[in-house]
Amino acid sequence: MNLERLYERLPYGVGMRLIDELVFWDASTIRCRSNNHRNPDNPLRCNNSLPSLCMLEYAAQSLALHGLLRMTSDNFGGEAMVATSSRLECEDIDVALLPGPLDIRATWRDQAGPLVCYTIEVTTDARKILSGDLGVLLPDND
Amino acid sequence: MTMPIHFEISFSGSHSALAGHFPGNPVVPGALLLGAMQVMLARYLDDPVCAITKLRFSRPLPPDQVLEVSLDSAGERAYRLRMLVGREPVLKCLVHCRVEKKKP
Repeated sequence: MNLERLYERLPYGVGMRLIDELVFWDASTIRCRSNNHRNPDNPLRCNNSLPSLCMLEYAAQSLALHGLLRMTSDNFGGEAMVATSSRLECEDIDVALLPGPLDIRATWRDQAGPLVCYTIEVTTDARKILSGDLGVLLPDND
Repeated sequence: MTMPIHFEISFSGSHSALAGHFPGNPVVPGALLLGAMQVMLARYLDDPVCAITKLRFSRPLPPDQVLEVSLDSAGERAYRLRMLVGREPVLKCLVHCRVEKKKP
């Protein structure tokens, strides 16, 4: 699946398309990879560092891609919103200093109305940077 | 550090994340809010943030709005974080800090 074409169907502008590679997906899981965390112009940098909680955006974009891939109709659109999390665990680290690629995994857990819940994990070289669950509010396309 | 702590932050419309999130409809990414908080809280808390629980984003945050941030104690190494624009909640969660091992 061509990642660029998928992103064209999502609302992210070019500078905020953070996923570099779609590694695998099926009905319940998605695995993505990125290398742009070391870029000096990464748009999520704060005070010249990239805090681990910013990895939530990489997870959120993986979820958006998974939502798009799971859709059978062509009317997917609008801006889904990260809405809730019961728990996120994070490393105290400047992610921009980590040499390896980011490995982003998300597993669909359940859906209640417009709220879709996933388990997420962002790692590099088997080191866990951010993990937990994430609930995303789907746009109302009616 | 004496609790509660109050401070204000805002994200300019020229922030590098906003042109692409989203074109024509800029919204501050929730991850950027949390990441900025992680950096800011390091100034106030003795130990690093290790977990966020009971996180709820109430509404999208457009740029150039003043966020009022409050941090209050919520138990041992836990803090209640709230962000509001005026009286409208934007984000609330509990912040948990790791116990740092003392260096020998």
